[in-house]
Order: sequence, then C-alpha cells, then structure tokens
Amino acid sequence: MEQVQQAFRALQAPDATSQQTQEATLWLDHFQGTLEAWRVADQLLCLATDDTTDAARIFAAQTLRYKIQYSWSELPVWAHESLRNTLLNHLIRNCQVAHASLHNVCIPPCMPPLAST
Amino acid sequence: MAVLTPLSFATGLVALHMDSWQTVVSDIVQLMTERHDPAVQNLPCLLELLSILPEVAGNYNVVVCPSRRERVRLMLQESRSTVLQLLWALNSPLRARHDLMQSMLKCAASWVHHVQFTASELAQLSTLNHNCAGRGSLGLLEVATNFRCVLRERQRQCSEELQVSALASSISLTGGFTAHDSARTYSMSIAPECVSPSGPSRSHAAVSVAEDDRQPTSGAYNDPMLSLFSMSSEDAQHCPLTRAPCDLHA
Repeated sequence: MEQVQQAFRALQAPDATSQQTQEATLWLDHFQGTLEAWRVADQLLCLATDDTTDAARIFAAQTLRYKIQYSWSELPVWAHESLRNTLLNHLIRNCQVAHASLHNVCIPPCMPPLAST
Repeated sequence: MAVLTPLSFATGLVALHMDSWQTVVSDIVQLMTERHDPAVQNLPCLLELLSILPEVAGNYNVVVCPSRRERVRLMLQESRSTVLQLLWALNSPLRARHDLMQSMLKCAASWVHHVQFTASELAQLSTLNHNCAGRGSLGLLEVATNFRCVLRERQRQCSEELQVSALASSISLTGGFTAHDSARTYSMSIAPECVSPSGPSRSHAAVSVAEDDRQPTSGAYNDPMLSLFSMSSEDAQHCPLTRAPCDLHA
C-alpha cells in the first residue's frame, strides 16, 4: 500500500519530471494486474478522506471494478461474499461522508415494505 | 461521487458474477434503508447502485455465464415493483433537491430502458417529477429529458405489443390465421383505440385485413380492404378469414 501511495505522491508532486510521472503511471498500471491489487485496493479505500488520499481512493475503486470485470476468476469462491460485503460497506461509508449536504431531506413513512433477506 | 460510481459499478459486477447472490435488489434496498436517518444519507449511493445494476446486467462486454446473466435479468424484472415503490416514495421528498432528483430520474431511466414494465407501471413512472427539471441544473435537465425520451419509447413499444397481443389472442381464439402464404401477402392491423391498456379485450378487438397487391378471389370479399369486423366468437365462427389460411383462396 505504501508503494501505491508513493506512486501517487510522485504523480502529484509539483516538481515531478515527466519521466517520474511516466514511471509512476506505468507502475500503477502494472500493479492493477497483480493479485496483490485486490487486498491493497481494499486497504486504500479504508483511508480517511482528504485531499491527499482522494486520488488513491478513486484509483482503488477503479482497480476493484477493473479486477472484478476482467479478473473475477482470480478470486476464490469463498471470498465472493466477503468482497461483496466489503464493497457495500465502502459504499455506505462514502455516503456517510457526504451526509452533511442531505440533512434537510426525509423519507416519508410510505417507504416501500422491505423484503427480508 | 467520484468514488461512489466505480464502487457502484464494482458492486453491480459482483452481483452479475456471484451465483449465490439471489436477492440483489431487495438486499441493497434493505441495507441502505434499514433505519430512517441512515436511509437519508445512503440515498445517493442507493440510487447510483440501482441505476447501475440494470446497465451492468445488459452489458455484454462483461464476460459471464449466459444463464447467470439471464437469472440476474429475471431477478431485476421481478424486483421492478420494489424499485417503482421506492421511486414513488422518494418523489415528493426530493422535489426540492435537484441533485437527488437527478439521481432518481437517472435510476428511473435506467430501469425503464433495461427492464420490461407493464403499461400501468409506465403510467405510474410518468408521474415522477421530471417536469420540474427546467428549474434545476443543466445536468438535471439532461437526465429528465433522457428519462422522458426513454419512457415515451417504452410506452410506444408497450402499446405496439398490446396490439400484437390483441391480434394474436383474437386469432388464437378463433382457430388461427396465417397472414402470409406462398401465393399472396396480406397485411393485418388492429385499431389502436380498440385496445385497452390493461390488455386485449376480445369483444372490442377489431381487425382489418388488406390484400397487398391482388384482389381476393372470394366473391364475398372482393374489396381489397376488407371491412372492419369485431372478433366476437359468433362472428369468428362465420368469418372465412379466421377458419384456415386456405379459406382466403376458396
């Protein structure tokens, strides 16, 4: 995870040369194809939201999407449910971050009855 | 939203791949509306995820077993009333929130585009607040316009399907008729005003039959455009067109 963050720091550094930027981009592209990317992407999504980590978190979400679409078979069946729950938790956590702007909306009591799982 | 969209896509893809996840829509709705306050804060996420699910299921670039894709599409089909109820429940509270209204209309458009709704469900969807889009942002206007276009197209398709269904049921009730044979081609149509939205009505379904290029040989129907007639069971028994194809040339 530290290497991914380093790569992002290199990309975002104001004094980064084009060669450093290119190397960091290539490294991140290569990293997306590795098995390690599943776990690291999950860890990156757990980082606290701030300006320095936003790019890494977006990269992590895109990496998971890419991995699920093209490398689903890399994941053992026993890990499917865990991945699903992790993704739903990340989604809810990201919604809570944006909650401040939604305080004046309320859902009426006519909300549809919910199906039990 | 920058992280929400790829995360929603990732979750949608998991739903498409994961055989053991049978109740995707109800699980997601339940999880994100469990308690009152979290339901509010989860709305952007819920609407984004619900928008993406039908798109992912219809995306053939995602390689997945065809039977699994069919099961997911069927599950979405069966879940449409849950989504419809949710959108309906959110309609009034979101009237003043243009950002959430945009998400809601995007979700509605996605479902109308990818999932089959009945005529009455489409009529219910048409009452969503898409007309207030003029007071919102350009993004809302674009989404609302798209929703209206998708809805109108679906309603047109639904109307056509009802007409075909009325024709098919009228013909099947009366013994069958082949509109095309080796010698001649006939065109058939049903008067749209005679088809009720709730389904074909046997007593009101009216069928017209026209020979495309030749006069029929039957003396009884020597006009190229045969008269409009009601397909009541009595009429059908006496109508040569509905007994058998060969009767057309008798």
